[in-house]
Amino acid sequence: MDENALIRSAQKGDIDAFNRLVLAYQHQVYNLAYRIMSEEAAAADATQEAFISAYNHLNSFRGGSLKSWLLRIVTNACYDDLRRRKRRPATSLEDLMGDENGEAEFDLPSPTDGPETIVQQREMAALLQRGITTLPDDQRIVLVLSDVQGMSYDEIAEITKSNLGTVKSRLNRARAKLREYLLQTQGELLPENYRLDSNQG
Amino acid sequence: MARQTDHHRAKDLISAYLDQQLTAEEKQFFELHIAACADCRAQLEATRSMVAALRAMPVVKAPRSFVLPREMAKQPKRSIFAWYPALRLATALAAIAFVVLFAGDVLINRTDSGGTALSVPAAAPAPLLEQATEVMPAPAATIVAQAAPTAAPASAASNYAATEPGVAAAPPMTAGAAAKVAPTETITQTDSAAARLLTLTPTPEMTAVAAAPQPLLEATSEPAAEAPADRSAAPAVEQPVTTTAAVPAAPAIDPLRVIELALLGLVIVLGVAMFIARRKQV
Repeated sequence: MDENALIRSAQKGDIDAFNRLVLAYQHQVYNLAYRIMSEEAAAADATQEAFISAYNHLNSFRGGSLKSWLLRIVTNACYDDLRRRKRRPATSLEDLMGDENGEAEFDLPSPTDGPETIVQQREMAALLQRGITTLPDDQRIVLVLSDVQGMSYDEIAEITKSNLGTVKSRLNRARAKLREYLLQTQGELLPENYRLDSNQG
Repeated sequence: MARQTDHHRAKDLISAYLDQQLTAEEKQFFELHIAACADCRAQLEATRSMVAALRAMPVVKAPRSFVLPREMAKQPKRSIFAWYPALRLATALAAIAFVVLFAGDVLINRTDSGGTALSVPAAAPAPLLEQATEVMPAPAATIVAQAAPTAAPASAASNYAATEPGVAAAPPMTAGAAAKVAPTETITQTDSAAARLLTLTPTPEMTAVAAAPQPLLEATSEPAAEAPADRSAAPAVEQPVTTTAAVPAAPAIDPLRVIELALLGLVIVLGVAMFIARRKQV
């Protein structure tokens, strides 16, 4: 059954059809939630909330990319959760560093990657994730949507209900802040490819 | 200094430059600046690497399945479901309208009621005395039958009325009763009784009137039993007073009242429907 047929069926209330869509997109939705929330439990909550909301509001999906639509829903769920929690970055960092399973499972890397590359990638990802956690909510979401998820400025502006100028400035500040963090904490442990210049302007 | 300003401006443009979001003028400025500024070049490269690393972050797998349970399947829409939000709104609006009208009604009536109440007792005796004079010519037989029971309440009612607030009603009542009693006596006595009553000095006339039908009273078997029954007739006699009094004060059918009642009924009906819809929805 192709996706459009599944969507049409699900829109009529066919929950089995909807669940097939869930299975197709749940990793991507969870991944985005995890990158924003930096925590498994919170990410799972946001993901569950997003799929329930999607099922209940499926009739407002007017075509286009279902993936984008789902990612938009989960981003809003994360936004709401962040506001509710109002976490201080320092607290999140401690939680994350204490959690051995912080990174959870990954998709299998390509067969040509050696074990070192895999380890490097995971270490890098863990480091970056810790850095993301230090960012204020607005900057965090824009950075993850742009640089982790690969969304365009326009799409980000629509999801976050802000304008292009705001997206640009938030992203600029987020990247500068993350750069600072990486320099301060782990500069020397970065693989050669990723080593950031320690000279500052 | 110009170089410091250029430098700061360039730093702010790094991020947008990477995303090809600069205007032609900005891009030209930036590329010119980094050609000469090693720091900004380094910053640019550091940012480029970092963004590449972010893009390369592996996709985290969902730790469990997020499929929805069967219980969540939407029921086929029965018409009353979709109505719940509309019903809720309609109920709220009707309730608000009712409260506003009712409050307005109460406030308006409160300011008017003092004046109208005062005019009631003054209006009452006049029409009833007219009624009394009209009753007088009626056939003696029927009036005799009425005379006995009404005579008793005449005195009883007068005692009654002394303790009750509607004191104004008492003289008209006794006048009415006396008028009914009178035809058993001669016309002249009736006239004089009525004339005396017109001056509204109840007590001596009452005892005179009460004394007259005494023989008739003794003839009746259960005056006491009838008295309470007729005491209820007394309020019935009173009622014409109030209704006739009421008529000049306010219109018989108040459109505002009708609307209020209709709104209240509507609120109740909608509220019940809303309750049913909500239960069905869950």
